[in-house]
Amino acid sequence: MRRSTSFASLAVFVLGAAWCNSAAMPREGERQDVAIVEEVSPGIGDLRRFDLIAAGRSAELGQDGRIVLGYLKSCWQDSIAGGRAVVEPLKSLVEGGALTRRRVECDAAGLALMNSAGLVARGGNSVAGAALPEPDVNLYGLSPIIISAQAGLLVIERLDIAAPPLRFELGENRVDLREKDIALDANGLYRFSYGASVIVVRIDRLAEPGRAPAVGRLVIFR
Amino acid sequence: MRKTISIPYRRLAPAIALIVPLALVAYQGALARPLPETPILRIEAGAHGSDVTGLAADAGGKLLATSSYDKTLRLWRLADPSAPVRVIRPPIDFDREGSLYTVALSPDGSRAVTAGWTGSGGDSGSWSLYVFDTASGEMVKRVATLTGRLLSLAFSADGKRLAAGLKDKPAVILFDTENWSVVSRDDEQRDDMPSIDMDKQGRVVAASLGGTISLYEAGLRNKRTIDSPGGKEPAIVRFSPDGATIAVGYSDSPRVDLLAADDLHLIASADTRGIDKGFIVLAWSRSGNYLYGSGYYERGGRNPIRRWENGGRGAGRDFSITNTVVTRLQPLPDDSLAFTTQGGTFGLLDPMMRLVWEKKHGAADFRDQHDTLKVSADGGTVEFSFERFGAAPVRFSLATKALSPGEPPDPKLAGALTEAPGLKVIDWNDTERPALNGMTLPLKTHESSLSLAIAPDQKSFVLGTAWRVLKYDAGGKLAWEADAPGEAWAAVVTGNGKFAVVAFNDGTIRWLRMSDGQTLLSLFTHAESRRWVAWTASGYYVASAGGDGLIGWHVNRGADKTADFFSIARFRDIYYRPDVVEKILGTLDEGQAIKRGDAETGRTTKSTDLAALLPPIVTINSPAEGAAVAASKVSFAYDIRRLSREPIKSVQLRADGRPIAVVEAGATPIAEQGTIEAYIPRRDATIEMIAETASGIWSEPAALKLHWTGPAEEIKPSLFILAVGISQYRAPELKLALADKDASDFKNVFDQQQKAYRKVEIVTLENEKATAAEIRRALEWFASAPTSHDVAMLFMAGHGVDDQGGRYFFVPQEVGPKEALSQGLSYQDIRRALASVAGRVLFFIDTCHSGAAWGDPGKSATDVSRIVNDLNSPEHRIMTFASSTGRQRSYEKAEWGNGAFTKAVVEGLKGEADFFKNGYVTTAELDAYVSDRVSKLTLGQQTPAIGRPFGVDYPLVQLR
Repeated sequence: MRRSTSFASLAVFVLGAAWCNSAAMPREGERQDVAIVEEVSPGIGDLRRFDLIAAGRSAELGQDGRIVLGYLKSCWQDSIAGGRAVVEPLKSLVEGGALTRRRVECDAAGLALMNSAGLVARGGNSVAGAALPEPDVNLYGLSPIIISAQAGLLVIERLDIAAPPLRFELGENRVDLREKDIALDANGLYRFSYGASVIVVRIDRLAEPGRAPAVGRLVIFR
Repeated sequence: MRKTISIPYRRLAPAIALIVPLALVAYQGALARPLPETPILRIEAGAHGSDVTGLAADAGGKLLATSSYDKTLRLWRLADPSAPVRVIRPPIDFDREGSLYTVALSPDGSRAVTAGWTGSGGDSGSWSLYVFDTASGEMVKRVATLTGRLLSLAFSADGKRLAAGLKDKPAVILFDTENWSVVSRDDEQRDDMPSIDMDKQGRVVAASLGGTISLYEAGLRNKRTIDSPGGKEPAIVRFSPDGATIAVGYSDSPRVDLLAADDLHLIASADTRGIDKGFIVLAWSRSGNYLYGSGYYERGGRNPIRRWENGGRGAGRDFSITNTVVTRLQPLPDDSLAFTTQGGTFGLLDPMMRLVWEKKHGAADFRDQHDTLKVSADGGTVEFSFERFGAAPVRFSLATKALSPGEPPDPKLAGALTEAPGLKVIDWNDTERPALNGMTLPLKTHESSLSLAIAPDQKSFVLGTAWRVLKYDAGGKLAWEADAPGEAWAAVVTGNGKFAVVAFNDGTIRWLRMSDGQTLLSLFTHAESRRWVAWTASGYYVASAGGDGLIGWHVNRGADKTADFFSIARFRDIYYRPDVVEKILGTLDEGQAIKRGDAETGRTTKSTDLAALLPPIVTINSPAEGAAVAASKVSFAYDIRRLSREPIKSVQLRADGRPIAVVEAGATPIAEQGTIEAYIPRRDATIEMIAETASGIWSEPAALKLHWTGPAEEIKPSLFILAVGISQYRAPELKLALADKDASDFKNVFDQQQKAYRKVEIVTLENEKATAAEIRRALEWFASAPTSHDVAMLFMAGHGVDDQGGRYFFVPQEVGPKEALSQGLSYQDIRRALASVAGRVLFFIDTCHSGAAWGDPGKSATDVSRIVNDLNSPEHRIMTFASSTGRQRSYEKAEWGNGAFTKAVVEGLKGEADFFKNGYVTTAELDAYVSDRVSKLTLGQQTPAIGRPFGVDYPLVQLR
């Protein structure tokens, strides 16, 4: 398992079935991103597409405003039109607006792993190595969305078959490969490298092309 | 009619009119016109509740239709007969309207046609034939011009024609199924037409109870009629598949004749040696090799199906399939055979005549239970058996609201008094001429007396018949009569003389007020699942877990539309009134029971205009039932039909019980027609769509099964467990022995489940750690930690208590009995946490210990059935395992090391429940094991209440 020390210790606690009153839940005051803005009408606060947001954040949508939020843990995708939307840990609280909520395909456990503060996922060997690594996250869209803490070079390498790597400068600390007309292969195993961090990604066999829900094609480098 | 006695065919089929099957509300005399607009309470146990009168298949043999006196038409998929794919309800009234006598299915399966006692409330006094679209269940045509009730139907091979045989004004009619006009008709028939058939050339053969058989060329031309050669009452005629031969069976003769289909001359008679009663059903195998027949004859208490080889000319062989009269046979491709029986059984035989499956109604069989039916003096406890002749009796107690074994015998229960000085009633058991002190007690023609119960004061007695319950005084004067919902097989007058408790053929036991015959209370128990529901005349009810799905409201939509049906559980907040049911026998009056219940619980019961509260009807138009899907994103097209002015607040789509899409109204109301795009799980799944009104009433779910043909899900779930167990309460009077150990042992089962789960996270709160604050905090974790791929289990052992309004509270460790309702953890809090879980969720609850601390040591202080039913309702679908039923106590024993419930759960999860020995224990296996094991451990004194969404099953542990 490719987990950092902090996550590994959590895993031991978990498997050991001990109860520690604070271990399993975020500490007081710790920011925990729970949702991603998938779409938002212009002028809704300072929210932008692909912003990661924490619980408690709210958005006033007025009469015509619209926002689509993807929840990292529940895989709910909430499309809210009008009214006021409050971000809760698993879903939105909507006041006075219309809501369409659907459970989309996403690997919530993989997202949690990537979303953990301090976690540095480390990918496995390339195709030349002996065994293929287990993926850190399963993605359900052929065109991933990459979010990083800051700008930098992203390298995507195919691990299960030989293929030339893809390289991108993450100038804006977020990139949607769909907008670059790049689609990875369904059922392909890839290593995403960004600085010292590496995440191994499996593109699901039924991954959708194009604009699949963001929570299902999200790669996060903290 | 299940008693296997020889019944004249006239009485069986045409005289269906004389039977009032399954009506839950008393017969109200003359036919009401127009159709009642008020909802009508009906039993719905998932299968026909009365004799099946019609059976038909589409040409491919994939879709089957059955009709019944129970006023429903059911569609079944042969591949999955576990439940009907659709229950179609024609318009009905409180009387006979809606009883169906026959059904036909178009060869392409798109249309189901039925009729019987239908349309009698119509415009011109004529009768009606109904045509239903099988995909939607909607009535697409009513032919309201029949001159008589329709007894028999047959589609042509191309589906363009339908032949019908009538009674009353006997006739044969040929319809054009394009516009339902009459192509041709023959009104020259002399008597009822119980059977009709059409061959591939469009020729029609029809049997008349007048003793004739008529053969028509295509278009109902060139009739040729003969006197039936083998008997005076030909009951069944069937063309052989090649159209060369016609088989004829008789109700009054054991003959089966084979006639030439060109000129009706007798070719041969089938071998019926050793049979002394008539064949009322016949069917050819699709290959034509075999002829099958059955009827009234018995062999060792069974009703065999005889199969003749060589197209009916060969040797006959009997196959003992059922112990009730077979009412219909339907050949299917590959020479398998579907059958139906009196009493509602529907089954399938393979080509070797082995039973593949059978679907039973589940009603208790009260035949020959005169000595079994026993009642306590106050009527509060009744003992009966699910089986004919009374084997393995069970006991139902209104006080504990539970079923328990009838052993050991309870001397406080008494059976029927059938002899008394000066009251000599003879010939009361299965005759049409019962007599009192030598004086015949007059009954209606063909009405059989079936049961007798003399009152304890010996001044009156009650006679149960096939159609009525009659009370006479000691001089033989009729005091009152009450129409019966089926044969009154057994009766007892209670020791206090206030009730006649009668067991009827529809599976109900009813408490009739001795003063006037009014039904005060009814009880229906399901023989297989042991679910039960007891209700008053207005529908106030109490039920076991799952029992509130056994009755519901039928709502007519006029003569030309399919009626709606709503489980009574949809109105649980209004009608779930254990307090009223408890008091009905003490007050002898529903109004008084409500008043006292209101006073006790602080409620104010108002008269309910049910029509104003009816939830919407949701229909999923696509994809189709059983559709194969290989992509997880699916568009669901739906219609919502509102029945009240209430706007629609939200719509939910669920897969195997878990929500996959939700639409909530904003400023603009939810569209009544639309599409929801959702991702389904990558497996075969049951999809349900429900809608909620502004006042919070949910619709019945529209359901369909999808067959997954794509690749399987690759992500392993994680497991999250919160186990709470409190033995060491701060208040000494609340101390328990093993609740903390129960929680500990439960979670220990899952410590080593890394093979089955990606990871296992467990939180345990025992004794002093299980304070209200800590439990709330842990519930927050429980609600938010699992992802949509995961499994979450909440286990709670300790004390629970209900307030006077029936609201449940779990008692934390530091809370004493007096503060339990103000400081306890409310059911709403628990449910909120359970409902928030993104993945699959299970709830194990064992809080039904003695209510001594709350002043009732004999019972639990909680009614856990309500919780189980609420959590299992379509809007929640949370799988729940509760330690006991109703107000039964949960038992624990030092030698077990646990409470009985937890012991069974732990044993089951450790492998005892792996019935299929495949290394996994699934939810269904655990359900079966725990139900049986707890009952055995406690000698039947404790019955777990388990709410498992229908069709949902998945592994919980991996054993190796």
